[in-house]
Amino acid sequence: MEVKIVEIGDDFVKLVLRGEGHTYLNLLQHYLLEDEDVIVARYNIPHPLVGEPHLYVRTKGKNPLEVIRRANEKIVEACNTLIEQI
Amino acid sequence: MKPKIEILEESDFKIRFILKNVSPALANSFRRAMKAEVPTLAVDYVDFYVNSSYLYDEILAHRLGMLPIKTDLEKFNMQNECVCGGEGCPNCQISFRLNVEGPKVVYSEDFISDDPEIVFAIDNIPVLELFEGQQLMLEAVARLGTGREHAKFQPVSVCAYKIIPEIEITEDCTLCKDCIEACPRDVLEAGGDKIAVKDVLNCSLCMECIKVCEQNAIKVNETNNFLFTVEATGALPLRVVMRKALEILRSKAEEMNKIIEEIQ
Repeated sequence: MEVKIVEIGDDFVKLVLRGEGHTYLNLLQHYLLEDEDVIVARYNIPHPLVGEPHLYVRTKGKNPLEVIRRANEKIVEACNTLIEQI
Repeated sequence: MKPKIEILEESDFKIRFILKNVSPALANSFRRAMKAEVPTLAVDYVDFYVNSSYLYDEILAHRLGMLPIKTDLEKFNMQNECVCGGEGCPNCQISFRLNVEGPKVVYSEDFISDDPEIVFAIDNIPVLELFEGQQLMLEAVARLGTGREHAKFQPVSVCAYKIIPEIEITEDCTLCKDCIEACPRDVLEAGGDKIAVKDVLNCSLCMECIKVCEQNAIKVNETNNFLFTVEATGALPLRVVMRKALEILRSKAEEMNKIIEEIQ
């Protein structure tokens, strides 16, 4: 995974995640939207063969990277509870 | 509520389980990860020394690629992450040799592997038929890859899920039994003074019962439980595929967190 910041402000961030697809981004988007501090969380894959998805997150004033970090921790936790049961 | 896995039936090549209390996003990511992110071995490069059979080299190479190989993920590296830098070494690839003369049907068990533990998962897959005077001598090189790159690297054949609904029958039910006849999956039955649910796992959410019910007494609600059906190709045991898929999802999230921490 390669992460590039295209734009960043106090309450929004636009990222490019090279090498990822729907598998990870749809999951991340879901957990971002669960967060109460998030207003917009959206991803877009401009071309299906290139694999350079854009992720846009806007929050209610919190640091957007901090919000993404929190969503990732939720994914890790959910995966851990499932791995234990297999 | 915590996510839960409940295994219903399990055999070497097929598993059915219920994934409970998860979002549709996690269920779908899990399915996609099992199909396209778990690496397995498959033949990717074939050297033909002699081929006087009726089939062209390309067709044979394609057929060899389709054969599932018993994979040991501890033994091999992905080629782009290997110490050899992608050139090919015993840490990232394995070759299968074959030298046969006709008349004979060549089966997957006829190949001689470099490592006696890494063999084709199923012994009796016919590869081609050689006739009198025909000869085939080749070396097939297998490497690790993911289903995202080519379907031959998929560790599962069938991998699908469906929502397990919650069927609710209200007091308005007059037991006219129209819904029992309408249901194509045999989900409902007559029980006591109203319709009862016999086999909710079989329901395909076709909503046919709601259409026929004149009293509007049936409600089919979606839940956060999913019924998974996964069939293996033989390359990896199913439990390993499931665990590996979740580990890959987890590692993606961890990797991104690491990058974010570096940026901040």
